[in-house]
Amino acid sequence: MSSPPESNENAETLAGVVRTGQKLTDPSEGLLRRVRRTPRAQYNPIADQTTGRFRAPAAAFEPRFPDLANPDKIVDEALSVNVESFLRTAGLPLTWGAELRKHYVARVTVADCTRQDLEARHDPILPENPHHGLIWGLVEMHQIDEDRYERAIDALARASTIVPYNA
Amino acid sequence: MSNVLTRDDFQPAQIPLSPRFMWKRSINDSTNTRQRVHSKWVSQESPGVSHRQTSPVSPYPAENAAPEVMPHGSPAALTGKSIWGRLDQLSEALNDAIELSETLVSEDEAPPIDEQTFAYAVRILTPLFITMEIPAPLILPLQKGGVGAEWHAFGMNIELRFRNPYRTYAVLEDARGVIPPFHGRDRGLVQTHTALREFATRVE
Repeated sequence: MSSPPESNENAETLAGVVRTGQKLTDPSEGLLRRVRRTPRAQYNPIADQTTGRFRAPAAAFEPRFPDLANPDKIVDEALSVNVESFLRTAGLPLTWGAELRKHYVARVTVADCTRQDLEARHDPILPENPHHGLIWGLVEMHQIDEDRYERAIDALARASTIVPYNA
Repeated sequence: MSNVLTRDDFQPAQIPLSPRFMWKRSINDSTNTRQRVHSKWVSQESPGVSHRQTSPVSPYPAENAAPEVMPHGSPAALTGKSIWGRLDQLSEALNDAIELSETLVSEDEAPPIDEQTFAYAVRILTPLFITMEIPAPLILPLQKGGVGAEWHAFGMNIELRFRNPYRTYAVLEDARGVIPPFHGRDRGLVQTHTALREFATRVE
């Protein structure tokens, strides 16, 4: 379970970005990210050769950036996830919200995020998803240092584990 | 891999292919691809025929077959049949990426793949398949129109992220320690070529 949130207030970063929601501080808190299936089953998920574990590709941890050609498109301020402890409290499976024909679900922890100077917050979307959370920092990181951004999504991908369907 | 979980634990029932995907697959069957690539080689060797002439549906931009990237003087010097097979695999992997990109675009999850970046990725990848006996990578659309190519096999993780033409981020890892780990921009793909040559030696 998640420890009590550090703050109920939104936070503003030095870059002026307002981070909404309650900060998650339990390092072991799970953050669940839907991963789009590729047309070929042999890559769903990826078999990491150095760790010997299945994991998601780094592309799964990319937020949507502004598209200059299509300014009306949806843009992410942060990376959307579901927060494991809230799903468990509600008695929902960790794959909740994923269409199993189209997605599988990857899990990272709050500690995986903080190691990359990212911040996880519980940020419910009411009423449809009270379990929703956000991983903040990737968008700003991309603006400041693209190589740092690449390393961060790499690290999240390599830290990820895959949620079995019966979980 | 884990003794407990296998890929089957993460798979639903057979995923049906969309009609459009089936159509794309059909235009890229082995015979057609072989004919297109063969005609390109023939046109390069025939006086009076522009080597820029290609089929409008060819997944290979004409410049990809530029002879200067070939270490051999003639395609006959290569093991022809396996080249066609590898190019077919690459073509299918590229189609997979396009298919996935179209799905992501239709569901507002990503912008379309940038055409110039895609052409650049193809221009980089195609000679690799002609010169090295490597399996097709997983090719993925990235955010901001980029394209990723990944191999995860034989103890190696090789990941290329073509963010835009001439900016490629590479991740190279080798569980056997033959290739030193590399995470960064790989200008000229020098590190990547070394890793893929090692990868090719393990394919058999």
